[in-house]
Amino acid sequence: MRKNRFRIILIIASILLSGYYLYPTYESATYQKRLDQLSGQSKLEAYLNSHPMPQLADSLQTQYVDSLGQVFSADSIQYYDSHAKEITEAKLKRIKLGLDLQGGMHIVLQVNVVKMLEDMAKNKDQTFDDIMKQVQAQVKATDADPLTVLEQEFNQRGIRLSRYYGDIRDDNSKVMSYLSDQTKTAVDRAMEIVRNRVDQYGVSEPSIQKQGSTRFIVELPGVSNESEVRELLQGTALLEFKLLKPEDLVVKVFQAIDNVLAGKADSLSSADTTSASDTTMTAAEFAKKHPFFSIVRVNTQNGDAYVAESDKDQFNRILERDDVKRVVPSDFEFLFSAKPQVTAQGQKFYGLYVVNKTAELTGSVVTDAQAQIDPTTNSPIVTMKMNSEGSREWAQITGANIHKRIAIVLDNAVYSAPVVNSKITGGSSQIEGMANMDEANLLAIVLRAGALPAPVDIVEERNVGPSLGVDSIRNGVTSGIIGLLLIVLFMAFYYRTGGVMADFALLINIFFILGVLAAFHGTLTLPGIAGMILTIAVAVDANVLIYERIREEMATGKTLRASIDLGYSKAFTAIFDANIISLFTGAILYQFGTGPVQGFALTLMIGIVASLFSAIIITRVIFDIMVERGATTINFG
Amino acid sequence: MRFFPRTSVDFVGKRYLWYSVSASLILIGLITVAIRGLNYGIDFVGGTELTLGFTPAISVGDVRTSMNKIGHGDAEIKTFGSDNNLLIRVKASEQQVNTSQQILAQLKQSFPNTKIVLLQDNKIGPQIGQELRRDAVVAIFYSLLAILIYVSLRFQFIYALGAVIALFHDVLITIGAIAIFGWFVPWLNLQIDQTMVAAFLTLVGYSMNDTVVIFDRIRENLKIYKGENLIRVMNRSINDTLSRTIITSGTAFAVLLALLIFGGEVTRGFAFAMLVGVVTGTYSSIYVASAIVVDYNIFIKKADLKLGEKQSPVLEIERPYEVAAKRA
Repeated sequence: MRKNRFRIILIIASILLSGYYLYPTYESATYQKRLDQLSGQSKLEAYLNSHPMPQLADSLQTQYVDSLGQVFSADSIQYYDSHAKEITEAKLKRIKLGLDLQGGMHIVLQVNVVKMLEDMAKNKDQTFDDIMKQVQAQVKATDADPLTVLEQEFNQRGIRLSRYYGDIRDDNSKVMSYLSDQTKTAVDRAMEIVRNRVDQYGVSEPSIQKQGSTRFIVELPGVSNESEVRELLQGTALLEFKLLKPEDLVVKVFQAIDNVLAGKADSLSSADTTSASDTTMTAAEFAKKHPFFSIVRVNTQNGDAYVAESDKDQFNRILERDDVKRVVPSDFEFLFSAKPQVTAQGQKFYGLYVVNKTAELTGSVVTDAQAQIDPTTNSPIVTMKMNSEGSREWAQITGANIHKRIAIVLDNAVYSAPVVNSKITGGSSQIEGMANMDEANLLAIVLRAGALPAPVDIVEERNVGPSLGVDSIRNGVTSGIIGLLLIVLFMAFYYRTGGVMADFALLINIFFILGVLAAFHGTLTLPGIAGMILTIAVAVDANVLIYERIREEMATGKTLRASIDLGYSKAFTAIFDANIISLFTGAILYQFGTGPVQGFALTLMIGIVASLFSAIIITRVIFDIMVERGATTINFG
Repeated sequence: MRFFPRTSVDFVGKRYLWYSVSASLILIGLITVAIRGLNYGIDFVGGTELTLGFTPAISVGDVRTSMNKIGHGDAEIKTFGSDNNLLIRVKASEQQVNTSQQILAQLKQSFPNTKIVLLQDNKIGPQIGQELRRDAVVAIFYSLLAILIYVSLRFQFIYALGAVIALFHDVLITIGAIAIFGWFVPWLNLQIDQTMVAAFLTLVGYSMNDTVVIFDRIRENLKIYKGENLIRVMNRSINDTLSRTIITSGTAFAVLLALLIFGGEVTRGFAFAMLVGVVTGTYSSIYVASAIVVDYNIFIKKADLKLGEKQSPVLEIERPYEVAAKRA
């Protein structure tokens, strides 16, 4: 018993750990089930089946069904709102399903450098168009670097680059370094624009990853509207500078909304601020009394407002209400920060900015932005340059709004809202107060994104409809269960007691694979399910090898204990060598594959390690315990 | 219970017969590939491929007639799984038009009384296709290299070479089988795409698994039966492991068959390639990998295996690092 103590602890710990990692997946599925039960769709259908449709015109009929749907979905929305935090957390930690299983779009975008160089040029004329045509043709034919080709073309014709790019006095090398810098950062700009839009579009769990130097991959689960997504990914970015509303006015409007929600008279003056600081109230009481302030947390010190990620939907629904709209002045616009602030508990809060609906200035006037370290204070800053026309307006705007805040808004998300310290003339501004260099870099990217184009082409697009995904899951699970049953029955039949132990180890093995997948935040794809089925098939191989050896040893008349010892130790080298090689091919597949194939490689690799553990260690411990308890024979068939 | 009591089949002795069987199979496969070509998936050639569900079903001919009107009459159209589902493939075009939307709109217009659902839609630019093709070749090359190095370290170089030749053999036969079955059983929808490459790499791993188990037994038996000739040791080792070989291949085959039958359209190609791979992988471990080691000793090392009861020193199988350790 003693020599096995460590192994037993290891086995139990692994099982517990797998359970711990798998629990959110179970939880998430339970919530989803409950939401589906509460969801209006089934109830709506039941209602429509049992009640005759009133005689209405076609257009009114759809309206009738829609409003009924709203009535019936109230339950699920309420359930979601009251469990929003738990649902989001469970969702974050569950095993993710690949796009091929849950449906969605996988898009690879590539920055079109030639187009970008074309867009960046000024004073374009016939000569320039001719050059660009040449560049386009050559890049297509030879796959060469567009920038090098461009330079060659200019040199051949004896034209200076500064005729179209940069400042007229710049020499070629300076223009080249500028252009090369812009092309290198183009993919970052394009990614940030897309990320920002995707966040606002409200896709759950989107993924955006850089691939190489000019490409990035966007994955949008559950999305199937292609034209909408194209618009989202390829539309031109809009950068705006918007003035923040004065704090006192904002707080008054907040209170008015709160009053409306709490069912009090909608008066701007009946502010009930005393109870907000009343610490004796429980959270539930507070939420009942101040429904709005339980969602929008206002920092009383500086007037900053925050909304938790899980409350954003609810917030947007509140603003849509007619009675709320009535108390909000028409030139008010509510915008969220692009990035959330994360609390120590891992909760995400988005900044809420109330701004003028009309922009003071759009980002097309920005000519450049750079993140730097301020040599005097040693803190990160962003310098922003504007063209002459923009500089004039900027001077006026900043001059009129000293000590006020101006939000930098890209596609309706606020990236920063600096305070104007002084009137800025000459078009060169400096933005301070970034927490770190990353934040400064991001802001510089955003400022340039509004001005400098980063045109992208869709080079790969995979779209899986939701019905195919559901079919795939069912097929995968069906074939997996059939395969598993075949093996479990065969093993028990052929190897008797030993086979049953191997089956037990196999089931624990499947549990381990899923647990590890959840722990690594892995994604389960259809080929991944195929990989698991294959793992099931190969996992018993280790036990087959061992049992065949034990039978051989027992045939030579050795004792049970000696046979088991020899069986395990002699089979080990073969098992080890064979599995190492499978692990190699899995790793190579992971390296070179994309998407679903990577999912396959991942489950295969996890499966190999997990099955070695369960096939060798778990069964061994069981046999050891049986022998120690006095068993003199174990039936190996 | 035992399927295979102690056997003593002379596997190695019949190797020339099986060499010719393998060679003919590969040849037939390659001829089919030469005549029919391989059906590359959209992953590797680029283009647009969409799968649509029709209720009620519409014939391929009607769909083609409708698509002819928008200039896609040459598209590849075939059923996918059931008669209700059609897979439509259009070659990559230069201009960035939204082909799938165009096709969907056209079909909806042509068949107003049919419910058409988009099941799947893939668009791959020609450049991406080229890159994926290159990556697939590189991946297969690297795994073979990794195997060559690892087996050389654990056994001997000739064993590694035998194993890798066996793997080539497996992949070639599988490709041939895909070409032949793709020709005569079109509803299997066999095509060379990324998932198929994954299947190749997996069957390489599986076949290796099998080879290593036999090699391991040879390694062990060479130590036990010192002085016995290699052919006998090999035959003994293959017979020793035969029961395991058949059982493991059998379980893998059964599971893959379940995947082929019940796994649905998407994993069918994968399951098919793996099924062929399991069979050839098992066979090649015995008749290719092990047999090559024997022939190497006969023809290159000029060892007299038939007569020599005494073992020639070259046959002693030792891991290079053990030799190094002994010297040290």
